[in-house]
Amino acid sequence: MTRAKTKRRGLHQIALAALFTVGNTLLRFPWKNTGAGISISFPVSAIAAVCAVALVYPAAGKLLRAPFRKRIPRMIAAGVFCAAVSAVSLFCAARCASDLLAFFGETLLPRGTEVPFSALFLAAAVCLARAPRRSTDGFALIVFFASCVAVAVLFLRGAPQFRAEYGAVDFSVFSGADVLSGTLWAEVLLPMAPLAVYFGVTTPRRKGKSVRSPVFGTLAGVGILLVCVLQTLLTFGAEYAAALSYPYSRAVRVVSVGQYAFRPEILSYLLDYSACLFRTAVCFASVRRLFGRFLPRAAKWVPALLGLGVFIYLYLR
Amino acid sequence: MKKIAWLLPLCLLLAACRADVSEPEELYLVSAIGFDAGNADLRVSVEVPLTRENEADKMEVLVFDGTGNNLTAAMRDLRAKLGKKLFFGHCALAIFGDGVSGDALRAALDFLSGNEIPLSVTVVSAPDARELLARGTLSAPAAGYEIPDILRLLARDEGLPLRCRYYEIAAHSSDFTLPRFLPSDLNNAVPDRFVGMRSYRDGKAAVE
Repeated sequence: MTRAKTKRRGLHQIALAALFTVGNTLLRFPWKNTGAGISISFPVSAIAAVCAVALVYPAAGKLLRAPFRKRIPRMIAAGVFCAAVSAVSLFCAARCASDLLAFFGETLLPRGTEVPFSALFLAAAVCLARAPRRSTDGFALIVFFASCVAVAVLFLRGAPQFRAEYGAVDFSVFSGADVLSGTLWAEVLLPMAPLAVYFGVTTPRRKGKSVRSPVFGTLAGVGILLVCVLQTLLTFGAEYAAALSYPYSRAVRVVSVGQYAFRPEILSYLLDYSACLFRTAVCFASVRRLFGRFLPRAAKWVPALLGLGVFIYLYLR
Repeated sequence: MKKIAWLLPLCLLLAACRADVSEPEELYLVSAIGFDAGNADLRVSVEVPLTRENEADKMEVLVFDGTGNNLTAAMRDLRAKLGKKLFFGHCALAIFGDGVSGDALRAALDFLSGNEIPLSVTVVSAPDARELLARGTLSAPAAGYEIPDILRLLARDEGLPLRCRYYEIAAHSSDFTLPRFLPSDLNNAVPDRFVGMRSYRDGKAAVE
C-alpha cells in the first residue's frame, strides 16, 4: 500500500470511529444520567472513552490477530473474550436501535410506522456490516464530512441565541457517584469495546502507528459531541437542558437560517440517524469478525441473524 | 461502495418524515395562542390566518376559543368547535392574560413545553389575551406575526433587553419578565401597543 493510500485509509478509519463514538450517545448521554452536572461529567467520560479504546485495541489485536493453531489455552482465552465482546456488542446495537426508534417515534414518525422504520434501519445496518471494509470506510468518510458540516452550520446559526452565563461550570450540582455508577459504564466504556475489537481485528498492525486511527477517531467523535453539548448548554443552560428528553434536538429547533428555512433541525436528524447506523453496523461487524476467527464460513450470516434478533427485541418491547 | 450507496438516499428520505400526515388543507395553522383565566375557568384562544387560493394578499384572520375548568378541558372544548385539526408548528406568539398565575400559569407553561409548539415561541402578557388577538393588528394581518416583529425592532433600535422566548423563560420558570401589549384601539389607532414589562415572581404577576 502506498503512503498516500495508507494516509487516506487512516482518514476513513478516523471517520468511522468518530461516527461510532457519536452513536446514540448524542440522544441519550450525558443529560439523562448526569443532568446539570454535564459540564464536568462530559470531559471525564470523554477521557475514559479514549483511554478505553487505547487500552482494549492493542490487547484485542494481540489476542485475535495471530493464528491459534494448537495453542489451546490461548484459544480458550480468545473464545471467552469473543463471547464477552459479542454479548456487549449485541447489547450496544440493541440499545442504539432502541434509542433511535424512541427518538424518531417521538419526533418524526407517524404512528404505526415504527415497525417498517426499524426493519429498514436494521437492514441498512446489516448491509453495512456485511459490506467489504473499504466500502464501509468510504461511506463513513462521506457521512462524517456531511455531519461535521451540519453540526458546524447549526452551531454558527445558533450562536446569536447563546448566553455566556450558561457556560459557567457549577461544581455544586456535580455528583461523582452518579457519573461512576451507570453512565460511565453503560454509555461510554461499554460501546468502546466493540469499536476497539473491530479495529483490532481488521487493521493491519504497524509498529507504533496502529493505535492512531481508533484513538484519533474517538477524539474526533468527542469533538463533535462537544460542539453539540456546547450548543445545548449555551442555548438552554444545564438545568433546563437536563429537563428535556432530547436536548440537542430541541436546541437546534430554535435555530433559523434566513427568512424561510426556519426548521433546519432536519440536519441534526441526519446526524442522529447516520451515527446510530454506524454504531449498530460496527457492533454487528465486530461480532461477525470475532465469529469468523472460529467459523469463517458461517460468519457471513451473523449480521443478518443479529439484525433479526434486535428486530424481534424491538418488536417485543 | 456502489452496493451500499442506497443508504445515502435512505438517510435523506427518512429526514423528510413527519409526525402529522394530514394535508395542509385539513389543518388550521395557528399563528398565536392566548391563555386567560377567570374565577374557575381557563380560556384558550387561537389565531388562525387564512389565505384564499389566488388571493395571497387578502389574508383573513380567525380567532377561535375554548373554555374549561382546566387546560385539557379548554383544549377539548376548542377542538370540538373546529372542523379541522390545529397545527401549532408555526405558532410564533403566546399571550398570558392578566388572570393567568399560579396553577394556570404552570399549566400554560407545561402546554408550551410540549412537542407541538416551537420552543422559540415569543411570550407576552396582555390584560385579555383573546381581546388582543380578536381586535386585529395595524400593520400585519396576524398578531402572531406582528408582535414578534415589533419586539425584534424594539430590541434592535432601542436596545431593549428582551428574554421572552419560551425556552428563555422556561430556564427561569419561577421568575421572569414579559413584554406587555394592549389591544389596538380601533377608534384611536396607536401604531405601537407595547406598554412596558410585566414581572412574574414565584408564579404571580406584578405590573412594573
